[in-house]
Amino acid sequence: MQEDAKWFRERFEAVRQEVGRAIVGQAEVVEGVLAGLAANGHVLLEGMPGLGKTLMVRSLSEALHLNFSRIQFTPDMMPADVTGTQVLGENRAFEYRPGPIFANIVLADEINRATPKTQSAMLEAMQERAVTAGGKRHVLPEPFLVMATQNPVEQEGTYPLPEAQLDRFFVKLLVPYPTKAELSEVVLRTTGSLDQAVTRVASEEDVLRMRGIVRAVVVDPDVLNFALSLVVGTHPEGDGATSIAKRYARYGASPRGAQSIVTLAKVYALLGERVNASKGDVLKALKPTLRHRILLNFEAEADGIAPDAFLDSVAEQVGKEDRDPVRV
Amino acid sequence: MGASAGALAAAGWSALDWMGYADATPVGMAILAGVGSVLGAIAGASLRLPTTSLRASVDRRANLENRLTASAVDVPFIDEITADAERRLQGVKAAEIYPMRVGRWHAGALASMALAASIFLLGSTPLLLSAEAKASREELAKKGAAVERILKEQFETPEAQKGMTDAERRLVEEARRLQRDLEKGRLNKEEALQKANELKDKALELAKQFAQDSQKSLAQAETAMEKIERAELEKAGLSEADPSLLQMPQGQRDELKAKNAAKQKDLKSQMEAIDKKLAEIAKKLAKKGLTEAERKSLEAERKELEKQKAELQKQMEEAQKESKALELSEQARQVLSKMRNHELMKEIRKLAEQLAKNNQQTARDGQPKLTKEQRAEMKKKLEELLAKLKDDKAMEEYLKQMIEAMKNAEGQSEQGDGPGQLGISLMSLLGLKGGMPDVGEDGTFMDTGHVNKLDKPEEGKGKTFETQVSGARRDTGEESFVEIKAPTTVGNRTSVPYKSVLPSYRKKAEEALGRKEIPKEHEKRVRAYFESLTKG
Repeated sequence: MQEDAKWFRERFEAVRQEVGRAIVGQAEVVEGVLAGLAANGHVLLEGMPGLGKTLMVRSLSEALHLNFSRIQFTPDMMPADVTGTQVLGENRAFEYRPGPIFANIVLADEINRATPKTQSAMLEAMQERAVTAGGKRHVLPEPFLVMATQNPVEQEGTYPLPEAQLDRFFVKLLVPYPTKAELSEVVLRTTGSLDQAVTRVASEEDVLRMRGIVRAVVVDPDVLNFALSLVVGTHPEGDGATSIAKRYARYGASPRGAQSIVTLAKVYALLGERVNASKGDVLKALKPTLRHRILLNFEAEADGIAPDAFLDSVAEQVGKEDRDPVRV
Repeated sequence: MGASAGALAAAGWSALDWMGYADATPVGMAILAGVGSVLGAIAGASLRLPTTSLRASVDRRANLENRLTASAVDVPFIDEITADAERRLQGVKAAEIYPMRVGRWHAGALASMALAASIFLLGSTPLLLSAEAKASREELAKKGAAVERILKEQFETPEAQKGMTDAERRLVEEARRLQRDLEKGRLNKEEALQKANELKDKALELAKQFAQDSQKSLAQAETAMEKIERAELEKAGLSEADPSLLQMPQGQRDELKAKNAAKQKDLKSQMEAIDKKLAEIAKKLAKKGLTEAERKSLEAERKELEKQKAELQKQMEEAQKESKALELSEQARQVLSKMRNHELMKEIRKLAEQLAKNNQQTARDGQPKLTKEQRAEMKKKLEELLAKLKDDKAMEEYLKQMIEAMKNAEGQSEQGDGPGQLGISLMSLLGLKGGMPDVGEDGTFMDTGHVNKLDKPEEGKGKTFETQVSGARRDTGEESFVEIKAPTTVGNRTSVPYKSVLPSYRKKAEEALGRKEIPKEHEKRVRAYFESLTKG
């Protein structure tokens, strides 16, 4: 297992470095996306336009030698535009023409611009990893990763994803605006003649093997209990409810949130040269996996409590209760 | 936690000490805190920590990132996880991850100890007192030290402790409490006087009780002596000697003897006269020619004379009997006198007499007549006599009773001066004088002098009146005490009607009067008291 873990780390680092050649900064986002890929989960990115999200996906697909497609969502887009449609073929029979979702890595750009109907079709395909058209089920290729982006600035003419739909994303990553130094590097790279070509460093099989390794990572009962305490701590009701959740939360994280936090913690454990997840890994996985799974109330909004601040408070409170059993 | 608990207990103890409910000492408080610490350490060492908790703790402290807790999970590659955990543990030292540091409980223990010390010092320090109060406290503390010296020297030596009765122990304990209260300044002068007065009363009462017990033993010894004398008379064949004649003074006996002789002579002459008359009547009856009436008259006269003679004969027999009893008693007296005049018996009698006098005085005013040395000497003599006369069972019993009486008189082992002496010592130390107050029939103090009441009577709790009294009631100079008049604590009714106990009390008083235990000048008063009760 240690050898597998080492291989995982090396492969992960190689892909990260390769993507890093094309993307300036955004290390955490790159790591989050790669973790999503390794954990077989979809990623929701939230950030301003022009921060290199498309480039990241393309670089990733090139580094992994995977198929890549990009869907720019608009309000007039229909579900078939995503999943594919039946067309009358030359032999006068309907045949299925796959949509852009049939790729290993799909960039669903500004998904909140699509109508709920289209969003729903997209998210259903994400969940089922298959598309049904003309009464026939079409399985999506493996590995399959959807990276959806949301524009947090423009709200007019958008259809924000409902909580149930958000729950389908493994992680939600916040893409920050680059620092001045990073911006300078971006400008120099994109306006000069230097070609930042990304080479293949991993394969489709490698991704599938990585997923198997992630699943084998050990989560001991103490760590699992801690992770579940954090999840339960986001709920406003129940035995494990924290005081901040009782005050600010309307709904807490779903069971899928618990699955996600543990899975992401496993990925972080492997990156931390361990074959067991630690509480530190769980804490690190807390915000990416739960920030889009909690619904805060009006009081939180009034008090300016953002999901990340809320989760920090939950972590602090749960951490206080998780004391050292030996008090000397 | 143990140290904190011990220190808190010490703080509580010192608080109780401050309030006067306990006697805390620095050493005792330190021991209490120490015992708590040791118990805490033992409990800490003996309580076993669950392995899972220990794993979690080491994981956390050595920053092993849950490698140890994960090594307990059953997975195929458990060996790899364990090896990884062991590898990380190699550089970890137990002292580094469990350093000695001052935790909440340590701080709590130190704070509790500081609290205990503060309470103790605040309670003992005279910093907040006025100069006058300080001087008063110092004076009382000195007296407390003097009381302690007396207690240590006379009542708390191993010899004195041996054979001490429970009542004496209680008394000494109370005296010790008074001494501590004095030294710690818990009492003001008035309270100290009041307590000493109470203690003195108890001490004197106890001494009297001992004297009474001794007197009972002496009475038993007397019974034993009577047995000895009876045996002596039986040996001499004089067991029929009348005890009342034996007790009779010699003059009275001689008088009785003379009277008896005169009576016998008189009876004899009367009987002779009757015999003469009877002879004459017999002659007359023998003559012829007597009428029937004359004969009948002579017969009647003869019968009357014979009747008188029989009566006289009876009296003569009684007089002779009395004479014989007197003679027997004379012989018995001679036998007893010979026995009593024996050197050993004289010595024993003398000791018994001395002891009886000692008991009488102790019962009267609580102070023994004999000194400690004299009592020891007496006891030694009795034991020597016992050794000499050990073959004589009757004498052995008598002497044993005497020794018992001796012990009772002392009330404790021969090393001490007795409870009465403790009371006297306390009083003299605190400016009181010894002796029981002599109260007149109207409740006023007798003897010379006057009583100066320093304070007006103050109403205390309930209907209790306490009065600080100072003055001279004897010719022994000034003295002071606290007079307390309070209702009975038993309740509104006495538990036994006095009429039911009066006869037995009266009998006891009369017995005491008979034994000359009551000083002669008070005998009249005792009688008057019981008569007044009977009249009522």
